[in-house]
Amino acid sequence: MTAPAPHVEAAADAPAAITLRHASRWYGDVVAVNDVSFELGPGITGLLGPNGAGKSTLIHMLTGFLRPSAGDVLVLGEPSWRHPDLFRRVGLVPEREAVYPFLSAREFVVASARLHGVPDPQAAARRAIALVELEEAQDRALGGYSKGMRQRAKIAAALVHDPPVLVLDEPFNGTDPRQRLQLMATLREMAAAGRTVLFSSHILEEVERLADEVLVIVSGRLAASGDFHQIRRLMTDRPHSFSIRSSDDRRLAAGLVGQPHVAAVSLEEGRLDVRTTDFGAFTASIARLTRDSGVTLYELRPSDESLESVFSYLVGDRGAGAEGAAATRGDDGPGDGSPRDAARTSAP
Amino acid sequence: MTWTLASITARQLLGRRRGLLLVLLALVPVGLALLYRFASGDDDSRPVEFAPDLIERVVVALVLPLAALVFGTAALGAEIEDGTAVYLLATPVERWRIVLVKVVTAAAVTVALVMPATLLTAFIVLGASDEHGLAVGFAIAVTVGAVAYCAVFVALSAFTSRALIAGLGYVFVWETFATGIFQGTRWASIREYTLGVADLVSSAPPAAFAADLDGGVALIAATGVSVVAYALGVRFLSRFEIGERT
Repeated sequence: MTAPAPHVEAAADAPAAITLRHASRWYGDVVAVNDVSFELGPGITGLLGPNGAGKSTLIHMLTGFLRPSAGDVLVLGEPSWRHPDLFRRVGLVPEREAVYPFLSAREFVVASARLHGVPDPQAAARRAIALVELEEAQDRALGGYSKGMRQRAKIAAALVHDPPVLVLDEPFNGTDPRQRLQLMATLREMAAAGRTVLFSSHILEEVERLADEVLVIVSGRLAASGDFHQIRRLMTDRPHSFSIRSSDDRRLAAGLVGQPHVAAVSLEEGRLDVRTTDFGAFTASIARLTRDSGVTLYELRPSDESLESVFSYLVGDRGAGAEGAAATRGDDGPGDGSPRDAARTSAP
Repeated sequence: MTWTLASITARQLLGRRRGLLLVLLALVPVGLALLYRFASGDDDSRPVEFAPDLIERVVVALVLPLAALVFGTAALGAEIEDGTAVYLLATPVERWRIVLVKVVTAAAVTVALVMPATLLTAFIVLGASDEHGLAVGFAIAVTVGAVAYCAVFVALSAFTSRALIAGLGYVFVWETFATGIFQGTRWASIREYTLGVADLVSSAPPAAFAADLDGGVALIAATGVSVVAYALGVRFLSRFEIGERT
């Protein structure tokens, strides 16, 4: 990243950046978020959950775009609902891809700076655009941008007033791997500078690579919260299935069968299905194995990586194992406070 | 801050195909005026009668409400629909300011379209001999009408995603049919307020043009409707919830 993020100092007695106390939101008979409590301070927290789990509802509540049906949603100690002045200290990157197609990225970010009341909008916009490395394309209309470039422009617009709290709803949607790495580096810098960064994702690996802490939401409830690695261990300590396409599936299958972490290999029409007992060892060795076998790998994708299946495994089939592995298994209620205290899982 | 909001709104309103279609619509009364000027016979009505009649039937009854409906509902509603409104709402800008800028910008764009059509139509029919001030009267009246219509349509778009349909219902069902059939409902018609203001400002003889509403009452009513609609718009936007619109 070209421009370092300014450091943010938090007062010792300052309230948590984000606090939810028994927050719920329902639409008629449908409960989108159910009795969720947590507190977040500086650092990166990933809000993880399958599509439709309630992540966006939660983000809309804490950015004041949805009124909680019950409970409290506080940002920097103040209720977020009907409190737009909070956006002086909060930046939001919305999930929806829409941008003003007729504005250039520079105009967009300058406009955001002006709307946030930044004293020198042009200078602030230059800094924010440099932070997301969008200088070269900054004068092109956003309508002609790729998804990833739009995402960077949105992030620059959200950062332009240098907020201590940054909320991002599915920020990596549509970005290519290189852009994803750039955005992750930017967010790490934000967190290292003392900011509170909360981002949502339905992709486990994104959260794994970026978040120090994690909030897992399933069916509107906080299913787990705390240190990511403890929770990830629960998630990885299970058989994984992969689907592979290669130039010679049969030869690759022969090589895979010799691997100690491969439990089963089956040749299907046009693909190879592999079941492994060790996610990390398998993903680390597959590239070497294909190279040594003289096979070209066309596609490798996990076939059971949906969070639904992960949590079905964790809270269903492996309930007892989950309880003992990394965390204290709680009651059916929400977490009791900071996910920084300890990893905690509870049945969704 | 205000200028930034207005600039984005104006670019959004003018940058799409709808602007071109509305310009074509605004040329309809001008075309009819040209037809009158060059193709009318000796038995046709006199210019001082034809001009207000044409402006009332085509500009006030059609071009003005349609332009205000399109611009008024698009000024805020289009951004809410396509998701770009979040870039305005996720800022500390007060909601009253956002609604005010939206109403004023939509009204300004509407006036920029309708007023030249009004003046040009009047000029073509009346020539330089507009001794009753019809052109100026209608020009001021469409400005008042544009503000009232836009305030109502911006408020509607903050309230419902079906603002365009609701607005069409108001313009073509209520103002065209209901107020035409039931005289007592004319007090609730922005079209009637517009005509009343035109009557108030111009000095056309009753035989040429006379509004149903008293000019003073029409002006007060138009102002009242604009203020109430604006206040409702601010209230709706302050309580706006993402994904909650009907």
